[in-house]
Amino acid sequence: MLIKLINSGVIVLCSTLIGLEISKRYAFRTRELSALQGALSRLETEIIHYASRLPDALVRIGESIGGGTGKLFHKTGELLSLKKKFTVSEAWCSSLEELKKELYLQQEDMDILRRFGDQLGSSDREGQVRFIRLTLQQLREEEQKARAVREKYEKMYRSLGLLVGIALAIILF
Amino acid sequence: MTLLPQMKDSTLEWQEAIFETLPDTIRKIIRSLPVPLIQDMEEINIRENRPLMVYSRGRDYFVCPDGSVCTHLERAYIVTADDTRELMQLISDYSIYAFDEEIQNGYITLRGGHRVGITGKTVLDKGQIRTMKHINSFNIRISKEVIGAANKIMPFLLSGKKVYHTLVLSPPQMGKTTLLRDIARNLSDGFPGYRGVKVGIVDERSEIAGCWYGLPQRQVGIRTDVLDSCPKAAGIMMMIRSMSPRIILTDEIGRPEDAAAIEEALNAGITIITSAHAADLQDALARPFLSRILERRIFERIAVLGDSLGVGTLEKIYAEDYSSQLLNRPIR
Repeated sequence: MLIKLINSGVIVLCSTLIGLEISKRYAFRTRELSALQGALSRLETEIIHYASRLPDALVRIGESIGGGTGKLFHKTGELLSLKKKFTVSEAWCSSLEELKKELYLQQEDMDILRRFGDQLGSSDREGQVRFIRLTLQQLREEEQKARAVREKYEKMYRSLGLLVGIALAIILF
Repeated sequence: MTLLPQMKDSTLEWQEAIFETLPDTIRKIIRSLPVPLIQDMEEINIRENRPLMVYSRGRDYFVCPDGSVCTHLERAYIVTADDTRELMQLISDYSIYAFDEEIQNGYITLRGGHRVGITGKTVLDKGQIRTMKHINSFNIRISKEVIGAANKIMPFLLSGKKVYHTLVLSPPQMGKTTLLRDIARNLSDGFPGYRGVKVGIVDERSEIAGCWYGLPQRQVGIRTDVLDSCPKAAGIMMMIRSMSPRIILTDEIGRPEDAAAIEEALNAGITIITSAHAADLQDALARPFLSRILERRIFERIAVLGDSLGVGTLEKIYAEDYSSQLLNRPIR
């Protein structure tokens, strides 16, 4: 009896935690998307007003922003400034691939970022600005979508975890 | 007597700066070229879909994939589109957007002051060149600094503490810029018998100081301030207002507004040292713009460069009356 109770408790606990973990992903994704927008805006400033070197700008922004986005920028900047067998797009994609797990992003977000990396640094100022703005807009749209999804599912997964746990416990009891 | 004393052994320095801007494939090939050829290398020509070439020891060579040189076109390494794309990213430090002005002018300055000339398709905006697309041809020009090139001329430019307004006349490729740069270094650092003074360089074409991100890559002297890629007339005025130099040095005057700026500098009591394209004083007097400036008798010393004893020979130095010469024979 006691063992059964403990077992049920463990099941409920685990299931709740899983529910929480899944619901957290929604929150993290919106947070990451807005961090990315912040980082891109800063990059735009660096390009328009300071004409900084891309590797320096990326490292600087990465350091001040932190989080998964910060790491992505920092890592790319470091790859570029360290040594020169990378093109920007190679360095960007390899950092993106490496940090996939930490970024909580979905396939469509990754696609936007990959397309962004292809153009980064490789046109004149005007072209860069146009491209950053386009990417920003796409990210903003994704963020809006992500928020809607988050509102729908975040609570649901949280309570679903608990409920499934309880249901399982009852069935197995 | 030589006007161009020993070259500083900067082989390794320039090699590092040049090699780090080459795409992997081309860097490996160039690195394995015969050593003497690398040491005397003056240009690397990289043209998309055409053979990789270097200019060294007075002629050009096709370069083969194994790093040997050949005379047969068929064996040469052919530059790919990937190579040029990567090269463009590397010479601009992945920041093509930061080089809008340079690309408009058709060259990018590298760390170390070396220049890469570029050609592609220009994009016009109201008749002005706005930018260049599809850049596919690169001429990497290795520039070697000649420290001490002006040591021989310095005594003629000074009278006690006073530095004369000086004009250097020379045909192209005779070491005019090299001489100006070393005059700047001498006046700024000072030398036995002369205490250095503040020097301002207005470097319209980034050739005197070879700036990279605004930092001079050449020895232009410790008391020298450089306005990089700045139009001469505006730059001279800025220098006068902001940096209070004793001497302003600039390259290749030739536009009417330059004359006005020079007069402004004279009124402010600043010494002007500059250069112009001309084979000789007579030649200069035949040019409309130069003759107008010369007739105002602004310049107190006019130095003429030539190659009678090799590139950089100091052929003549005229005093302020333009008739008496201070040299009895050319020196180098």
